[in-house]
Amino acid sequence: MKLRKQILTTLLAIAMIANLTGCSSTSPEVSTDTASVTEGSATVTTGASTNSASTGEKVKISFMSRDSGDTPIAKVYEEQIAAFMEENPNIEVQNDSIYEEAAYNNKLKVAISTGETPSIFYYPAIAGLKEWAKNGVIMDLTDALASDPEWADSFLDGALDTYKLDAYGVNGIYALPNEINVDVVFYNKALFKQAGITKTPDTMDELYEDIDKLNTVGITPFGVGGTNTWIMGHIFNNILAKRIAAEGITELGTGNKKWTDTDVVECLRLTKNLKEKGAFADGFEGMDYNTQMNQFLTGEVCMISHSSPIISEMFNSDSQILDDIGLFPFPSFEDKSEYKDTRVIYTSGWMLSGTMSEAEKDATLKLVKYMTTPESIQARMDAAWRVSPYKNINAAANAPQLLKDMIAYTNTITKSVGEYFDYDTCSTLVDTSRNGILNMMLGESPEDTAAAIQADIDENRP
Amino acid sequence: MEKIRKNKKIILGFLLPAFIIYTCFEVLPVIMSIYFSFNDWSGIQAVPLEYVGLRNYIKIFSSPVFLKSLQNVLIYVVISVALQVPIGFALGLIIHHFDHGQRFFKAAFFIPMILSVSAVSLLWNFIYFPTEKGILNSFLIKIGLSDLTQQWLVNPKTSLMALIIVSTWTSVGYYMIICMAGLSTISDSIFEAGALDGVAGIKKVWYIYIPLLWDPIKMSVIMVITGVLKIFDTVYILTPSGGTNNSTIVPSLLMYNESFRYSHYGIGSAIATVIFIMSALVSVFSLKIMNKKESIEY
Repeated sequence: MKLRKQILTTLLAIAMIANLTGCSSTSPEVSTDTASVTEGSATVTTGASTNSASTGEKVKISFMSRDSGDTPIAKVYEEQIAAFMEENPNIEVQNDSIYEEAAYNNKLKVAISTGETPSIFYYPAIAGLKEWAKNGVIMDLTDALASDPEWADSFLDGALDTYKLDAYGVNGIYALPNEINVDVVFYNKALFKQAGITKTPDTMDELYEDIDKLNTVGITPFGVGGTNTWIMGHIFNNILAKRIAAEGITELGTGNKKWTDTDVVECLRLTKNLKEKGAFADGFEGMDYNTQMNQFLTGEVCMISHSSPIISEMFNSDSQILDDIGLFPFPSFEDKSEYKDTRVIYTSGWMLSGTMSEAEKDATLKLVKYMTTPESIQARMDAAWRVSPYKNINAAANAPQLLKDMIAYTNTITKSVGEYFDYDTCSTLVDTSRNGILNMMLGESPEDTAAAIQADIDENRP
Repeated sequence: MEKIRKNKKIILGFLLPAFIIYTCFEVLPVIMSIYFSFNDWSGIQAVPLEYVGLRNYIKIFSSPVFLKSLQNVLIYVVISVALQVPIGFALGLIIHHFDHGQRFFKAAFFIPMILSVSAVSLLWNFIYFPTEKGILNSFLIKIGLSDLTQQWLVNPKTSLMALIIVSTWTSVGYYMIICMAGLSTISDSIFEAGALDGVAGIKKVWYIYIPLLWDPIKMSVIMVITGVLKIFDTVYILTPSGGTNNSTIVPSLLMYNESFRYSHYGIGSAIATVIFIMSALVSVFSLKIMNKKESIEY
């Protein structure tokens, strides 16, 4: 009896543990998830589609973005996909979009690992696309763009260069820029006035003075949700852009420059100095993004560093300060005035599967061209205020002044750079650096932070 | 009925679907995970697996972050076992004796268990909010202990314990129910006999309840251990980066990052395998210790 009970209990314990490891395993999950992918995006099967093309059956393709649910942009995508299918009855588009970031990444990675790459998808990387490009997971769009000069010319000048991977040893253009998120500082004009600030700061020295003035009247200068580490990461990225510019950031990403170099450590120090100068609320390291936004939209803090998509989020709230919100470019450094015009722009692009049949490829290109006609882009701008890297797109007449200011500002940009880790093939850099920056705000020295980030790169860069 | 019971083919027929499902979705993934841990793979179907022997294991065991995650999860296990099972069973014993309101208290303590982790985490975010607006900090200020106010989830000295408290709050209701289920199987005659022998108070707990509930206690301990060793959601939501200086990093979070964020599938699988082995060892070790105290049957 005793032995039987022991055996039973041990077996049950092992079953529970097996359950744990089974759930934890990576590739084996592929087998279960494949089933769900097959229902959705994986309706794209080469054999079936080639056959379907010849038999007149529908060509099935899939579209996967982070815009889903009942958001304005998701609704526009749904409408545009529906309209496209109506115009092209022989093409069926499966919209597999998922809003939640982790779920999206999981589904995409599983789909790619099983060879079921969505026909059109979004992924936040540039250098990180190298392996996919090299192994044919994503399509080189050079020929498609070259064969349709009118389409290629509709993009803003230089926008297509964002996804040229030549610097990483793979020739070609591997994504179409779809949106540009222009980083600026949003500020509360009423609070500026209350602190006696009459103009927005052009330089960091002026910003430091404004921080002092705001603190003097008891206003917290910047809202930062530290637990969402990308927020401090973006502030650091702006400082990096203003001190080492696009060239320096690219060198950092390709390994020609190190994080332990004096000028990069200086950027970390300047980021840390903002805290020491009283730029952030006490305890900001433990606050999150929602708290930050709530603080800004209730007039509790004066500024936030953010990019263009936040405008629609702000105007969807019932904030009473919307008319008081203005924007200004992230200030530059007087000793680095040569980089004052370098602006931070986060580009998000559409990647096309490189493993499609000819029929699917044709259908996918047809869809992506349809989605990038001036009318389609203008519709997305009107509905969701998304700034796109295409020519002749303007804010609607009834759009808020803040959006019009953002578009006007975007049109003045001549030099831009993205996020530093976009230029690095080290996949762990995003977390290591952002966590490192937060730890630095909590006490680590800039030198130690830089050394830890560089060590991670040395260990993990392919 | 007896005929059916003796027919092995029928029995196997009923067992087969469950066996197939269990093998496909539990056993095979574990075996595959172990296999993948000896390989390097970038997550691209066209790229074949590259056999790397023990390299993934050498890499994780030479990583201070992984070692820190092991340390954190073991602390998490020990404290969780020490808190969740005794509190859960104590609540079960107390509520079992309530003549009125038993249903209410059962539901009240069990509700956290059925709430989504996101909702629970949101609630505890308010409690742990890092300024004087946080519920915990404001309470401390009100009772004159403002020196104790903290950034609970940020301070490396408090963050892990803060998470353990969330897990404990969520789980005690479950162990309370297990305890009450166990209590319902104990015959009243045993308590009556105990009462005649003058057993009461703490002696009653020690000599009657604990021995009679020993099997549910053992099972609860194993469930806490296996549950905590795979803890992910609470940590991921409350401290997504693994805490200041990795103060709340746990192996499951590392495994998720390595596999799905960094596409290091081999390393992710090696971490999963280590979690599996660790769980097996800790569970068997715990069972061995607990089996020394034999349960009583009357």
